[in-house]
Formats: sequence, C-alpha cells, structure tokens
Amino acid sequence: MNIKEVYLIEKYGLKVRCVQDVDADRILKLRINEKLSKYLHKTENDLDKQLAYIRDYKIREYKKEEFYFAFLIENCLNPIGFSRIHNINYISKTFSIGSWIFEQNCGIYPILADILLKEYGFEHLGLNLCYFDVRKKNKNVLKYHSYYSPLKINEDRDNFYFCLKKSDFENTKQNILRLLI
Amino acid sequence: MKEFIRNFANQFDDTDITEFESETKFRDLEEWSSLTALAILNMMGKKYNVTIKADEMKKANTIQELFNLLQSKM
Repeated sequence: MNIKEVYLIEKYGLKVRCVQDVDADRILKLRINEKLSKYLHKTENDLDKQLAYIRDYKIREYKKEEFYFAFLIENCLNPIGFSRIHNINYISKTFSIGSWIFEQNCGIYPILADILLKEYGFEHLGLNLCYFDVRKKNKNVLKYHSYYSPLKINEDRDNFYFCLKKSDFENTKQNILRLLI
Repeated sequence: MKEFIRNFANQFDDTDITEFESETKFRDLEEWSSLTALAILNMMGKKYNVTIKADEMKKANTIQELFNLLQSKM
C-alpha cells in the first residue's frame, strides 16, 4: 500500500491521519453499509465519485478549512473509522463535526475518536464552538451528546441542531475518559 | 438482579425487553455499540455509585457476569 503514514495525533490508543485517495474504497464500504450509515447522508456506491470527493477535500485540507480524519489502531493496517471537522471559521472560532462512521465491534474507539476530533477543534485549532446535527431517530447518539450538555439551537422534521461550548466539552470529557481508559 | 436487568435494558432504545435475561450475551445484541457500552458504564456509576471502567467491563460476557462485577465493587 502506497500510503504516507504521517500521524497528526497519537493518543488514547488511536493514530490519526488525514484521509487520502487510498481510503476511498474503505470509506465507501462503510458508508454503503446500511446499518452503519443508517443516520448519515446517503452516499452513492461509486468509487470514482468518492475519489473525486477526496481530491476536492484535499484542497480544503490544504487551506485548513476542513480535516477529514482516518482513525487507526495498533497492528491494524486499515482505518477502523472516519470523522470530519468542517466549516472551520477562524474568525468566529467555530467549527462543525460530522461524517462519523466506524466499523462494528471496535470497542470504545469510536467514542475516543469523537473526543480526539473535538480536542483537535477546540485545543489544536483554538476554536470555541462546535456545531453538529443529529437525526432525531438516532437516540443512542443523542444520548451520548447529551452528556456534554450542548445547546439545542434548531430543529427540523428529521434533525436536531446543536452547539457545544469548549468549556462544556472540557467539563464532561474527563468524566467520560475516566470510564473509558 | 431484576432491577439491574431493567436498568441495563433501559440503555437500549430499539431492543425488545424480552431479549434481556441474566444469561444474555450483551455484545451479541444487534444494538450493542460503543455508545451503549458507555451508557451502561455511566448508568452503573449513577445508579449504583460504582465506577467500572471499559477494560473491566470486557471481562463480562453476560448481564449476570456484569452484575457480579458490579456487586464485587459495591
């Protein structure tokens, strides 16, 4: 596999790098899995479109407007999951997160990956507010996010829209990490 | 034990209550995920005032075994 293994972060047993062309097939396989992608925006089963998406994304990554992360664990060649920071605004100090998708049966790593993603936005990029949306029917994810006490800022037929302050994230993060590691 | 099973089952949203018995292998449940695992760890902390970590939880395969682990720390 011709892949440059430069990790941005190694923490909580996870190694994190930005998505590359070589990840297109893996992302597609996860995103067309009906169970795993039940609450995500639909993705066409088209590898060329996925590759084109990643190539467009790399331009946004170069401009530091977006970071699409691949999460790996020790002794595992393929990423176990992916997640994305986007809509980064360095003036208003805000960002959005999404595209969180992980293999089944990879333990607590999906939660640790979510914490790492938010740490990257709040701590590494120095931002203060995190926006995200959750499908109303995705009760497990709603329950998870509720631990951080985000502010519900809007809703439509299918989704709730939230805003999470850095201070609320920091307050809850330690309590969750205490249970996980 | 009955109360523990009820509290355990309450952490799931789509799984029928009849699927939860003392010998249920909870990781085999369709709805099992990292999020339900965290919800259960959190529930044990809140309802029973016992901190069980994810690594400790790995030792339990059934609800009964998890209950035994909880009791051993009470």
